[in-house]
Amino acid sequence: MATSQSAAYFFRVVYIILFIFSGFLVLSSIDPAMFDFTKVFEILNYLLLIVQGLVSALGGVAKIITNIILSGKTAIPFLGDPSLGTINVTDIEQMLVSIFNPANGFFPHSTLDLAQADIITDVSVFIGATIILVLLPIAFFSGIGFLREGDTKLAIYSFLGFQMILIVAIFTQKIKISTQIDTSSLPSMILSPIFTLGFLLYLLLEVAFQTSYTLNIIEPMAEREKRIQEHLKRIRTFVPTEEGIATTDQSIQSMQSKKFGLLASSYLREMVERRVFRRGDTVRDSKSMMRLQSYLANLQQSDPRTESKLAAQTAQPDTSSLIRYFVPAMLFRLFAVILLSYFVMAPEGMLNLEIPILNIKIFIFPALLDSLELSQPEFQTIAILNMALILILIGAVLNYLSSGKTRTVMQRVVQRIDTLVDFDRSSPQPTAVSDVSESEDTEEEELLEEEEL
Amino acid sequence: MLSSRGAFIAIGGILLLSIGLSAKGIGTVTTMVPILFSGEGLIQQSTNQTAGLPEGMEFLEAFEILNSSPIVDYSMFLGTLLILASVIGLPFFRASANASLIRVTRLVDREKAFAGEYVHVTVRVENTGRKRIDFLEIYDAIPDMFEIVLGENFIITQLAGHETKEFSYIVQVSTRGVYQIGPVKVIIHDRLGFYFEEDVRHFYTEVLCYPSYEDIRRMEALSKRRQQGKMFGAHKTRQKGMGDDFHALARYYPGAPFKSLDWKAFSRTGELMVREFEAEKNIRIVLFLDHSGSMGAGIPYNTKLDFAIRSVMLVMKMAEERQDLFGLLTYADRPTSYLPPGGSKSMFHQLLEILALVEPEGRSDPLAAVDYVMQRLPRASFYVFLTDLESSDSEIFTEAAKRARSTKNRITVISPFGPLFEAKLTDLSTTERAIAEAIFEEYLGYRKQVEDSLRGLGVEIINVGPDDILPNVIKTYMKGKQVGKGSV
Repeated sequence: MATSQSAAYFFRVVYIILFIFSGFLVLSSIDPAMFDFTKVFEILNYLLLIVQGLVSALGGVAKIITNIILSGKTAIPFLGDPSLGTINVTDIEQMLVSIFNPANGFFPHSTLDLAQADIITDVSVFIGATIILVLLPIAFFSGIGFLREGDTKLAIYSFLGFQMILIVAIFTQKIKISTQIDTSSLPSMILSPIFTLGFLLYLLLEVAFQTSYTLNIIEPMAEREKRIQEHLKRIRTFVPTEEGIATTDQSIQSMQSKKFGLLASSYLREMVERRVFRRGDTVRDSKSMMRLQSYLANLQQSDPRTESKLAAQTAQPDTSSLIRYFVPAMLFRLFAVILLSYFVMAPEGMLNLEIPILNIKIFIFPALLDSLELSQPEFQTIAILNMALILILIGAVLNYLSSGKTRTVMQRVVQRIDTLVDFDRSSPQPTAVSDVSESEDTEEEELLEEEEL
Repeated sequence: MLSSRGAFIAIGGILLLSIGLSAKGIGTVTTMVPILFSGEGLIQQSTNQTAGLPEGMEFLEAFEILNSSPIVDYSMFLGTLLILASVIGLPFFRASANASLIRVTRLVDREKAFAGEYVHVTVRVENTGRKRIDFLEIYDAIPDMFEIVLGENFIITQLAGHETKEFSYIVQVSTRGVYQIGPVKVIIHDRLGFYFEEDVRHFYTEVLCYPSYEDIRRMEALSKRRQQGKMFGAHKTRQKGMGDDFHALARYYPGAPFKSLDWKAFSRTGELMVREFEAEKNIRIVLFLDHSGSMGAGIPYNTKLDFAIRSVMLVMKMAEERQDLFGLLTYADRPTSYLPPGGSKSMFHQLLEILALVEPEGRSDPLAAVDYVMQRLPRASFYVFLTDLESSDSEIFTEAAKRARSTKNRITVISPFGPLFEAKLTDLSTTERAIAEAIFEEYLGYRKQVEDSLRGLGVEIINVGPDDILPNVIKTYMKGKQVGKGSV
């Protein structure tokens, strides 16, 4: 119990340290200028201008429509006249071209200049800052919630929150650290600030999963042992109450003094009520408890390990080994992830890999190396999908090998005989066994028959 | 296989890759706004970087500016990280986690138990492989009728190579029947919960549950104070005969043995009197238990059949104590099991097994049941039917009674009355009560018809409810014994 608690504390402490550290890094990487809300008034001023512009534009449209209608009326008798009221046709054409020609931007040059466009940037930053202010408490409180509840969903929310904050900060370019991931070499990639930050956040998520393992699996098992030990103690020390005994005796006395039919009917009613309506449980509980007590005593007498089996003492997870394996396993895993990420993000390195002594390149794709596509995200996508599929394939092959399907038939027959002839078995024979699949059984039986022949 | 958590991470990665690919050409706010509104930003940036490029190739640099936007880079990086993180451990997991290498055995301390008794189930889990399993879940399924009173029927643990762990739990069997413990579900996870492998082992342990012994235990407790004249305890027939116990004095009749003459009474009364003794005769009783579908009606675990079974057990126990011959035939649309009349103690276990397996099914054919018994038991016996008379026509029952009576068998029918087992009238609403009363009348009318047809054959029908079925069964047995129905 103490060990399991220490494991849970260990992972919680690791999570807290990483959480505070990564939270601090995320916050410190955001440019404080992002939260300059004095620009709000400026933005509002421009918004008012935009509204004014829209109103006047609507007025202009209305004017155009009115003019078209009016000029249309007047123009009908004079077909071929290019004049449409007060607006020249070429003006309308120019307006349409200005609106729909992307080369000119979405608005005509004359209406907005770069200085005015800056306000759009300010608006974006303002919206980004607002989003970050919403996301920050979500990220922090989810992290704290995870520590309390152990629910991995909360850790995922926290991870997503921090990542969204980073993405918003990058998009609005209000991030103080360099956003470029230097993929020229593996160390330079690892040392890229944005890579380190993103990776640290992922590490936090992995630690959260590991913490969840201790909180949701090891702790409940320890609690189960404690709970069952308490039940066992209560059963062992149970003494029927006087009230329960008196009630039972009284019922027997009254049964003797009354006629049998009435007695039987009351007894049956009592039984029905107890079973169906769960009434009058005191006496029944007392009886059940006494019966369970004697049953347990008998079991304990026949097998002294009964109580430890009930409490699943032998099945308690070994938490010390968990902590011991945690650091190397995680380091290995993370290193593998970083290495493969590097190969995906900088495929030149992977394509230039050589077998050291023979000086032979593993991948011979010179055309690809010279290709412009190599630096494109599409190539990364193809590379990552291939890598994922290769890992899945390796997994399937390893599973096939470890399942023992490739073991020789004789080995299996020998194992079968070993199982059948178990001289050490002192305990009663199991009533049901689940071992290899039925098809394998049949196969082995057939082989045994062949052997006999 | 990826778990929901692993799938979430992988899908998150794919989503981020998609965002990265979609964001290609969008850039950041500071690059996008001038481009959107004037196109000048892009032109200016590209002009700065296209110096030296051949004429007409400037667009390449322009695209490069947009491709290398930080949003694209970060999304691609994060997407790659998440996808790799979700699959990197898969080969290690698949190599170590192989559910077929987990051997599970189950051991029960008893395979037969009375309802209400406890069964201790031990589950042993062994990792026959060499690799350590960090996260193993084992669930041992139990039938709904079982209630776990101590321990738990699952375990979540780690298992090193060739390691064995055990856990156990105690269940209380609530009602009679044959139950199967199993199957066992084996689930292996990795420590991060990204992958899992699941296997369901369809191996079962059968537990035969006899009807509750509670009634018999109670009766035994009470019969410790057995007294003559009370319902419990030994009872003798009141038949005159050649027993040892004095019954009464009677006037001498020609042919009476001289040794029975009571000379003291002769001297006292001046009349020849003979002593009569009680015969110590036993009876042969055969219970016909109808387990047709309609007998299964009633409150769960307290159906007509459940009460009938309890009655059979009580009568059996009483008959055993009184050294009467007791037989049982269970039947529905055909005889399903038959226990010829006998008095050995081993019969009780056979009876329990029969009763444990009885299930309500099909229609009722009492004629086939009577024929079956009569072919195997030619001697006159006391036939007691436990039937609700609802799954067969009255004509069939009349015919069965006729045949039974033809060989001087005595018949009593104890009939659980359906509506009394369904619900209490007081618990029903006014409308429901009206409907229930109508049904009640209908049933009663039918019974009246059956009673009328059987009256001429000397068959007694006793309608019973859950409150009085047991006393009536016992009373019928005692009365039959007193009268000497089916005397051996």
